[in-house]
Amino acid sequence: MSRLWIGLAMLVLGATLAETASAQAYCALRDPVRRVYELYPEATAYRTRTATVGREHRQAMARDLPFTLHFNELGRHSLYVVLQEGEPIGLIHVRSERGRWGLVEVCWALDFDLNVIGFEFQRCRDPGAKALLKSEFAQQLTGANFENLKAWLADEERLAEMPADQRILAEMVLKSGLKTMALTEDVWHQDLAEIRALRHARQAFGANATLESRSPTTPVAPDVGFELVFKGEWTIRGTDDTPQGSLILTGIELPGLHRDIWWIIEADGRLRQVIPVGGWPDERAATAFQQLENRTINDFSDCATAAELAAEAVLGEQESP
Amino acid sequence: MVWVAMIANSFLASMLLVLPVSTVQADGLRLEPALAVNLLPGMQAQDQDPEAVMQEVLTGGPPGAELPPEEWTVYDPFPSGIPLDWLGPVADNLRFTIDLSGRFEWNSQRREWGITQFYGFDLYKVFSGKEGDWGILLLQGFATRINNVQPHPWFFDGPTDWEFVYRIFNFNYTGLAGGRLNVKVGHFEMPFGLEMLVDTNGTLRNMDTARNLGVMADWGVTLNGVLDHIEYEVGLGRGSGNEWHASGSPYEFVGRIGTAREEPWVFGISGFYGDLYRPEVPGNTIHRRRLGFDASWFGGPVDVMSQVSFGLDGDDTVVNSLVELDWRPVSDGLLLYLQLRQDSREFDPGWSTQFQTRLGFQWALDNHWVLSAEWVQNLTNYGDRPADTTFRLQTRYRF
Repeated sequence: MSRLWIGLAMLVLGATLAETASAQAYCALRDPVRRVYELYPEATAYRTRTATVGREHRQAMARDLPFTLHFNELGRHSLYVVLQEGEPIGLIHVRSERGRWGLVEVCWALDFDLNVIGFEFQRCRDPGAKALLKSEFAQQLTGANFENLKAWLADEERLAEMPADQRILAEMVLKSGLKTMALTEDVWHQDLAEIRALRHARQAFGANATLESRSPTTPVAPDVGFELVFKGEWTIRGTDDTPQGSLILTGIELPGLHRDIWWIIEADGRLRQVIPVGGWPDERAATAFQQLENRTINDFSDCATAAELAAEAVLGEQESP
Repeated sequence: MVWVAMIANSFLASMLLVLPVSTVQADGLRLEPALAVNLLPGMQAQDQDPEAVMQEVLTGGPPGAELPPEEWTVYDPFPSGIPLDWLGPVADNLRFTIDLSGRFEWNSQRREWGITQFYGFDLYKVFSGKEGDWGILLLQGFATRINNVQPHPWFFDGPTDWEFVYRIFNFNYTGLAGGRLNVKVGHFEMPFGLEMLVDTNGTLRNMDTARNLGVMADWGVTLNGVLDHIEYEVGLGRGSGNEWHASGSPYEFVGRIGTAREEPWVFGISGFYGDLYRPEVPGNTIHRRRLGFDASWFGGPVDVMSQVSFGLDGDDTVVNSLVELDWRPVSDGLLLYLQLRQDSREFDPGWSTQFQTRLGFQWALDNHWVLSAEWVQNLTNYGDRPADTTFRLQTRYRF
């Protein structure tokens, strides 16, 4: 009898904790194996990263897009990191959308800066699907980033040029792409940070560079006058395990510039390279940050721009014990 | 007005990045950067969020604007029910859901209700390492209670009984070739016919696998994988179904090879050969063999699926077929289906055929509840058996 009560209590507890459940049993879950190797012919394997998409991610998406997730889309979702001989070469994410002809599953291949490598329909019953995949639309989508898709979706004239039987599906694909990029950046930021960090380190210091993660000494840079958040820090080591430099990931919030930025720093404290996630919003921002490269800024009285202030704070963080 | 604000804001933001923070340096006064920044017009609080202005201009709608329901995205059907992140590393790539359902059945000949209750769980865990995924654990176990259910699966002791049912309970080792060649060990679903495409475990709708083969899932090992244009699974099972029994040396070989399920047209060929455990027959086994073909078309909101198989039940020749028409009138949350089944057997001295129709629906109210119902009508039945009617209802709740 006591077992029955324990069982009932567990069920009630489970029901209380429940967020979203699945209407369909997990035996129907299938990895997009075929699409992985179609979109990445050089791939040898893939790694699944399952994460919980919650209300906070829905709200974040609503800040970036004029549409957001339905509550029914919250729950556990998978991102696939595509590997070639153990090295990450890209991402796969499958999103379900509602189309004219029922459920549409779009399989997205993205690079680590979340630019489109390609897409395929994992499932699509729209008669215009094949034509869309062979159209200029699909070709022009390759290489597009979040801003490109957002502008494209808002460009009614450009969409109106498409054949009528493809336009609705194309709009759905653009929305799917935007949601995929926004969610991937937001939900899997930790996984992406690790991958991007190793990639940046190896591009700067050679293929044998290794990373050692360390905790930021302060989560937010004080006294810079704008939001500068330290999201991750790594020591870059060479083949003989000697430190070769540092890698710092920050989030910066300025009017017109809301970006995560990578800072690659030499062992002597020189700023080697500044790399934005998702590219610079305009030429001026690019110039402002790129002129910091190969400089050492260790006194904020030397700072004349917000970019220099950020650099001073980052280099100061890097030197902190 | 919006354009003016946007342009002005962009200009100020750009100026901030390239122009000096402090344009005037007062003698003897050290200007704090924070203060300097706050003094700049571009950094001061705006009446309207610049991102919002940008989005309104670009998209014609404010950020976060609600879309009408018809614009909502369909739900991802595979979220996990219970929050798992508190489990730490164990929660990596883990989905877990409690699955409860009740099934009610009424037959026109018996004129009695039969009730089945399922209390179970559904667990899906992907094991992954630096070199990629190397395994998937899928466990679906159900404490199952039947009350006055007749006929019932043979492993229940009677029409009213409890059994723990292993639906799918296996580990699929995927580390050999990145999903192209996997080895599955445990209790696996028979890879035969349309069931490979639709996974009807735990639903009223089914593809006749259990009745046709005599077993729905079994303990054993399979090789399976997905290649460029085909997918396959071939297995060797114990031949005893839900429980492990060796009496009479039961076994089965089973397999299906089919074209890519992502295409509008899907074709498959299946085979089954085995002696299945049955405690009530002499020698404790029955012999079955089948060769099957399936063809499906998925277009628009309509699916048409079909399969035909023929073979032997002991010494009796069997030919059966199934055609299903599916329609999703609103969204994938509602499925209406119509099946036509034919099952012909060469009993001594002649053939006997059962024609049956099944009309049913599955309605996913949300991520928790699924309601379904089915009307099974035998148009003709074996020998002099009556053309009876069965109604089935099921409520399923997952959390």
